[in-house]
Amino acid sequence: MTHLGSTTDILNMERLVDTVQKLSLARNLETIMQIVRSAARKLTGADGATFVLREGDLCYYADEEAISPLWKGSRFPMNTCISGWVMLNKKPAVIEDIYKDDRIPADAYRPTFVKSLAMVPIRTLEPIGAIGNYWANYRMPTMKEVATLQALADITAVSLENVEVRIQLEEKLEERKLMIEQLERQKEQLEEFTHIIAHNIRAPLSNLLFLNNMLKESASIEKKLLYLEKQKPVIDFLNDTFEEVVDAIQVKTDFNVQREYLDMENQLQFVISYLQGEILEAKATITYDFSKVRKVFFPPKYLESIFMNLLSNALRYCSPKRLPEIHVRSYLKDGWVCFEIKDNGLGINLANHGEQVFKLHKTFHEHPKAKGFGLFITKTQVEAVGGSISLKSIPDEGSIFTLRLFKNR
Amino acid sequence: MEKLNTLCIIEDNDVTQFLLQQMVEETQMVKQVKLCSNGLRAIEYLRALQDQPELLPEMILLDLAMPVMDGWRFLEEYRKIKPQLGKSITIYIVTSSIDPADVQKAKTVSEVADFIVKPVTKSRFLDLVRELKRVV
Repeated sequence: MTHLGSTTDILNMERLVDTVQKLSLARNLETIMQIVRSAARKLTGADGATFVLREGDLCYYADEEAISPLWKGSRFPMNTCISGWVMLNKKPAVIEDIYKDDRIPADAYRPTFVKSLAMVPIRTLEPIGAIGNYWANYRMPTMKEVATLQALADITAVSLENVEVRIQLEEKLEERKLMIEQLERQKEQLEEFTHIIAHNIRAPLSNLLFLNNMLKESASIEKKLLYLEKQKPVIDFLNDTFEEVVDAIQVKTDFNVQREYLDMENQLQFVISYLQGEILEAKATITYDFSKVRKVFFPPKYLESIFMNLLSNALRYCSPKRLPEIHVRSYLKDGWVCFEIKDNGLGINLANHGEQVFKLHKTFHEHPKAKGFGLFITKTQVEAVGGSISLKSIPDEGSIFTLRLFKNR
Repeated sequence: MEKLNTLCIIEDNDVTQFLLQQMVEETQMVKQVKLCSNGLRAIEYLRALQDQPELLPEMILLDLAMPVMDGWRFLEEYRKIKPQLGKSITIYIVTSSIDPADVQKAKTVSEVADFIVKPVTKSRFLDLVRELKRVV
């Protein structure tokens, strides 16, 4: 006849298996401690259980579950407390009467219910912590109880290591994610510059080639002179384009651009005074509200350029049907300092031009001063410091540019 | 070789406009050149002549990147008014773009006869006229 063990043994076995399953799902230290402290108490029927972690030369009583408070949150030197002894000696401590054992700092125990205890190390080879069981009466913890407790501690060690590996993996994954994001941004930039070369540099270049062809093929001296003269504006345009691209590259590669806390209202007032001529000419009304948020941590040269470009655009592309009304405001959203400029101007048909708006040399209205640079460099500047720009627009009603400038912590 | 009556150039850049015009003039193969500075202007021009097909151009040289209405949008709008125009017009995309995506896209538009990368030389233009006359 085989010995099946007592009902308590079977119950304990079930509890241990259940604990193993729960621990296998635990993803962090807190969950592990919560599972272990409650399992430790239930497995032995103790009046209290503690979860101790080694922190260098200290024992940190990280968690507990007991009939009345023990030492949760406290730290004791390794050589003055029993969990320290367990970890240093790499073996369990089993004590029937704590007041008769000189390994116990009696003063620390006097305020508690504890009369006897059993303590086992977590990861016996090189302990990283300990699990304690406490009883309110004098009793000798049985071999079985200590063995069960040690089994629990061994499982706990495995779970802790799993969590550690998992955390390391997650950190690596996060690192990789950031790297991929950066690569994607760089790929986008590369595509953008390829686009600029294919379109913006190529356009004046093809005109120069064209002129050169005509120069060669034309028979009359007058015509040749005319073609020679025509080269000047094309060369100037090519040079302008080149300088614009250089500006953009400088913004994109200036990782250490100086940022300051800037007063957006002052900055806007400066830009308004600078554009006073245009404002008077357009009979424009400009209102602003910086009551929600006034300061932004931003590169001064970019902020001035951004305000200048957006405001002069709003003035330039006003509707001939009504006097321009421009409203500027700032606000906080999702931790971002946002800046918004709203006009009642011509607007842009975003269904047709949506993706084009911020590209170099893209213009949408037949305006003699339209160059297609302002919004391109604005986007470049905002994105270079981690922000973003977006546009809502209805043709013949107006536009709203919204900028996320800076994320507040 | 028979001359073209009307050639329409849709191009926003004034230097390119001027050069194309000069080049065409030097070939002496076109009686009249109509310049449109963007797609919308061209659509308006074509619409205005829809009841006088003899005045409509035989050939269009179309730029792609233009403000107000670019070349691609012009082609969409052109497709809509094409049934009302009593004339078949040969359209060439003339662009400085060397973007393969543009070439690929041009191939999918049935209204486009060919994709020409600037600059357009005299001999290339003469080929286009010859081709058009041969087909007609």
